[in-house]
Amino acid sequence: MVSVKEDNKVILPALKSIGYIIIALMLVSTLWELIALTTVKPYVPRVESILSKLYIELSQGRLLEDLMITMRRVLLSILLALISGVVLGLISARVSLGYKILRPVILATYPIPHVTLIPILLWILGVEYSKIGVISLIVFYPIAISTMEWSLRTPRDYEYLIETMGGSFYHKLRYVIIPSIIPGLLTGLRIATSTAYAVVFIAESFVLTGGVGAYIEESWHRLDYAGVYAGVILLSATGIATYTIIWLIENAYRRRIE
Amino acid sequence: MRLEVRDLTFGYDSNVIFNGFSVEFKGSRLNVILGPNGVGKSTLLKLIAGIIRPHSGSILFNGESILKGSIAYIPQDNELLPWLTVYGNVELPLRIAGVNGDVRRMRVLKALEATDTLHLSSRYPKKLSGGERKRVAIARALASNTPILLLDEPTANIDPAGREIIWGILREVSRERLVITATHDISEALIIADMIYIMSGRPASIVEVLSGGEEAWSQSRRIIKLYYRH
Repeated sequence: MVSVKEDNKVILPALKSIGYIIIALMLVSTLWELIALTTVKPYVPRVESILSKLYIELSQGRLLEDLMITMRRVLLSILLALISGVVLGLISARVSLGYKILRPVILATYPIPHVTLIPILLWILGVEYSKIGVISLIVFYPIAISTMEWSLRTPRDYEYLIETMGGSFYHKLRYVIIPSIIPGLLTGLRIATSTAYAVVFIAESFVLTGGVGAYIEESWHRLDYAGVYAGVILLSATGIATYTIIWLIENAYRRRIE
Repeated sequence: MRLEVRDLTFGYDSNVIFNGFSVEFKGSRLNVILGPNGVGKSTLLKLIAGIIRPHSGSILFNGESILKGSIAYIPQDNELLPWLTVYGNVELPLRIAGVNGDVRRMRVLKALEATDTLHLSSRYPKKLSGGERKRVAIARALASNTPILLLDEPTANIDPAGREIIWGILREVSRERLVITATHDISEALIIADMIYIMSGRPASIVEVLSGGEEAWSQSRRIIKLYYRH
């Protein structure tokens, strides 16, 4: 009975949010259609032509393949950023030398506009890995900083408990350190992934080697207006879906412990 | 069962908390360290639990160094891990000790029953009252079957009914273990203690050791005077 109530507390707000998103999409579409009908400009195509372009490109064209390439890049980058962000975030928070040296370095280099490093990363990592490199770099910071801050605010009492139980560092890591940083980590990841989809567009349109970003860029050069919007919608939808999934997991976890 | 603290020295920077501090606790009775806040009671429990190391001195259990995992320590706050259920919390020391699944389950259920928390086993700590959390922490100590149980302010911020239940459980538990609780609450010490250690400081010292029960009640005026001497 309790678990059903708890589930409802997670599912109902999620359904509500999805409802709001649908309403917002309908409003935007209606407004867009009105603008398209009144302005009659080629760069404001009708909703119908954008959606049919999206459907055709996904079912028969190259857009699905491009989406797979983009997703592979984004997910690989997030994985790399997650591993490096958690490891370096924990070292910065929990190792004395890490706190003194690594923490200020991470915090000081966070505001650097990392997108500007794409040309340099191209020289160092080559065409494909420079894209993954720049996304990883941008996603790394919110994850590392969240890990650092949440690890610092976890009460030491929890680790004392493990120590008195005869637990090793592995037990502290498994039962205290990792579970305690999960809410912060998910918040960082949620923020980071939305940025990741923006950065993947920049990276993919810088040197065109496939991906939704490259598709948008190519469509733009061909004056394929509906194609540009189809690409933008697909990238946005993927970003929103990823954000929502992480938000739901984060919410469910937080409800249990906070 | 005997726990000896010998010539303990400890402090933070220039703040000396213990300077040649010695005390002895015996098992199968409820030992209560009584003293005002800030006198060093919690620090003493942490030193005994091995959470912090003394600058010098020794802490011995039955004449030998205390082995890892032979103490159950229950802090005043944060006594349960919030991301584990009640069952998961009670099971934790057994998992760490590598106790087999069936045996583990049996011991966890027995401990939950003993503290009347079996019905809470699937809940997370945030859904428990202060008294329930403390009972679950005691269940964890029972499941791990450690000979020494240390509790820091076991009934702080708990309602009278909850305190009564915890006192009953502690009396029961102290029959077979060496139990040491630290409290600033004079009435609690008078009600539950078999032995009262009045602590004063700083540097901290045990100014008086009294038997609990009738003797303690008859000397309650003296206890109050010693308590406030700090």
